[in-house]
This record gives sequence, structure tokens and C-alpha cells, in this order.
Amino acid sequence: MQPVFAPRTTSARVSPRLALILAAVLVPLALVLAFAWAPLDTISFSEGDVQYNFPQKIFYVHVPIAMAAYLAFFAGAWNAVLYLVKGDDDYDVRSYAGVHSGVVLGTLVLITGSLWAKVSWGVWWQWGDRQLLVFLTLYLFYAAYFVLRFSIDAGRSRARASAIYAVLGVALVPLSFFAIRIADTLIHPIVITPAGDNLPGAVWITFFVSLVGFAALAVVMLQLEVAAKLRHVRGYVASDEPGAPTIAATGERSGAVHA
Amino acid sequence: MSGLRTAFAIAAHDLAREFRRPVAISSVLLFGVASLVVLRLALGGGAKPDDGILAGALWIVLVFAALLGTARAWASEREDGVLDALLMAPASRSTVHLGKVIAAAATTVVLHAVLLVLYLGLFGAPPGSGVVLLVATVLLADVGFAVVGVLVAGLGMRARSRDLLGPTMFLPLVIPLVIAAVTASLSAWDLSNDSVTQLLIFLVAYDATFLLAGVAAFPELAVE
Repeated sequence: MQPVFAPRTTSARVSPRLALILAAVLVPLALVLAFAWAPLDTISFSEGDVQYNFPQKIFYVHVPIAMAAYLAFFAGAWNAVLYLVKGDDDYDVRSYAGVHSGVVLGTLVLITGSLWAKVSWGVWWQWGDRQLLVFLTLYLFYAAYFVLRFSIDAGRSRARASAIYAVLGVALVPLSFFAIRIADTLIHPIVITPAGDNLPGAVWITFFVSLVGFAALAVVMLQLEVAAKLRHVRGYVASDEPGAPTIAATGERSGAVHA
Repeated sequence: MSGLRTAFAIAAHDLAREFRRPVAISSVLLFGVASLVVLRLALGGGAKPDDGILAGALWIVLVFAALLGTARAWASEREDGVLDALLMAPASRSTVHLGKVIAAAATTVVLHAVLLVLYLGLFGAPPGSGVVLLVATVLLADVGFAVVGVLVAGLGMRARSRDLLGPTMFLPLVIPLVIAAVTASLSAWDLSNDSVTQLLIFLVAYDATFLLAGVAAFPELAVE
């Protein structure tokens, strides 16, 4: 008889060990590079001066975390699509974990972004920053995912509603982007840096190391949560009395976890 | 074609039922009217508020009135215990969803028409052809509110605490719609240089995106 929770093989999965090693090495390395190597002065470009002052170092954390959050949201939406196509409850758990990791990272993005805005522009929030607004919209949208998910009794109805909601985020990103783009009167665009592609090599390298490190950290967070949720479900079934109906048998497998 | 006819039949049934005993629609209408009066007093008191504030005040009321109105898309079926019967009717579930969207859009347009007239009376009308632009913007936004509202109501169809759930999902989803609609309204008062055509096209694209999403998603949601 096939085990109820036989591990599934998927082709596009990142090795947990590789992700863990990358995160463990690159995140601390990025912090060291940011504080010990990245420039700390004003550099002149033809487009204008850029101040690489101490508060600017939050850039090496804020932007990579934002990208890692987008990656996690994408993983949530992609696994939601896979759930809707294949109906496999594992994808429901993976989708939940993706959205959860995205919201955790998103909270960090908003905190670090506010700190950066305060020291750079003297305000906690800059309504003229298009990227911030798109991110805030997506963050609010995915934060509501949990309200929906925990308002529905565990089972297929919950998994389907959650999956459809997670996929809607894919439509919300371009719509928010275009709305903000064409509404210049409402959202006055600001230019963060005049330097464009002429950033010094030390900035690019530190940023790239941080980017890969935080992306790996997001993957680790996601994988740890998925593993914990699935272990919880397996433990639930293993502890059932012999002959008692398992969650899988009633089609409510994902419903047993709090995910 | 027969699917579209069925959708209109479902919408006509919903609208007839709603207007026979207009408890819900009159409650939302009263909410909207009271909100406009409160906003007029809160924003300007005796003086007329700035035009930029006026456009914002209108959309605050319209968004919340639409939210309240569309949240009840599935309420009558649920309260009467005939939700499953409707879902088992010999019509595709996408058609049922479309029927609900048409009914919600019609109700929202009626509600917002009354509120817009009252708004123009209380706050003053935009100059020149601004009123036409304002009406076009409200109409396109109403379709968007209906489409998203019915989709959100469908997502929460089997949820507890539906009353809290609706606004939590609805508001983030309509942020792009509100951005475009408010900017178009600012153009009605000559306060915006943005392309009105682009804004209106965006509203159409927004409506179409979530209409298609709802039609595609609802059969999945309705499966028990």
C-alpha cells in the first residue's frame, strides 16, 4: 500500500541544503561588505552627486529583502496555480508558506523602508515612491489572505478559496503599477538616485551578494515552514487509531494543519 | 448567447427581488447620504472645501457604499438556504457569477447615481464638461466595484465573519481602481494634467481583468 504522505518528487525545487548554505554564508558576508567595504562618501556622477552616507547602508538590506518578499509571494501564487491544476494538498501548504514568508519579509521591508525614508527625506513614508506604493498594495492584499484562510473551515473549500485569492495577486501587481504610473498628479514621482547604472563596483557586488543571500534565506524560510506543516499533518495521521478515518481518506488532509 | 441570456435572467431575478423589498439598498443609500452630510460638515463646515478635497470626498463615500452593497451578493441565497440549489441549476457556474455581477453593477450604478446627484448639490459641480467625465469615471468604476465585490463575496461565501472579511479583501484590490478614478476626477476639476483617455482605458482594463478572473474562478469556488 502506498504511504499516505509519500514524498512527492518535483523537478523545480531548490536543494534545502544549498539554500541553507547560501543564506548562512551570504547574508553575514553581505552585512560585512556593506559596513566594511562599500563606499562611505559622496561620489560625483555626470547626472549629479550621490551620498553614500551611513544611513544609505540600509539599501543593502531593504532592497534585497523586498525582492525576497516578491519571490515568496510569487512562490505562493505559483503553488496556488499548481494546487488549482493538480489538486494536490501539498501545494496548498506550499502556497500558504509562500504567502506567509512574503508577509513576514514584507513587514521587514516596510520597517526598513520607513527608517530609510526618515533619515533620507525626513518622513516615515514617501507617497511619491511608486515602488513603495505597489509593494504596500501587494502587502495589504496578501495580509488579508490570512483573514480569508482562517475564516473558512479546513478542507477543500478553504484550499480553493485561498489558492484563488493568492493567484489574484498576480493581476494586482501590474494593475497597481500601471495605475500609479499614469496617475502622476496623485502620486508625484521622485528620483531616488541620479547615478543610474554608474554605481561603483563595490556597491553592485555588495548588493548582489545581499540579494542572493536574502533570496536563499526566503527559500529556507519557506522550506522550513512547509516541512513543519507537512510533518504536523503526517504526525496527525500517524497518531490516528487503526481503522479510524484518516484526514487523507476524507479529503481534508490540508485541513488538519493550522496552515 | 444563451449563457448571456441566463446571466441576465439571474440578474433580473436578483434585481426584482432587491427592489421588491429594498431593505438592503435603502440601508446602503442612507449610509451614503449620511456619509456625504458628515463629510461636508467635517471637511468644510460653512466654507467650501478645496476642489482637490472634493474629489477625494466623493470617492470615500462611493467606495464604502459599493463595499456595503456588493458584500450582499450571495446573502439572499444564503439566508434562504437556496445557495446550493442555485449552484445546481442547469446553468454554468460562470454564468451564475456573471448574473450576480450584472445585478451588483446595476445596483451600484443606481446607488451611486443618487449619491452623485446629492454630492453635486452639496459640494458643487466641476466646471464645464467635467460633469460628463465624472459620470463616465463613476460608471466605469462601478463596474469594477461590482466585479471585485462579487468576486470577494464569492471567496468568502463559505467563510465565518464574512462582514469583516469583505472589506479586508475588497479594499486592497480596489486601490488601483481608486487611484485611477480619483485622478480622472481631479481632471474633471482641471486639477490634473494626466491623460484622461489613459485613465479611462485603465478602468476598462481593470474591469475586464477582474471580470475574467471571477468568471474563471467561480466554478472552482462553488465546488463543495
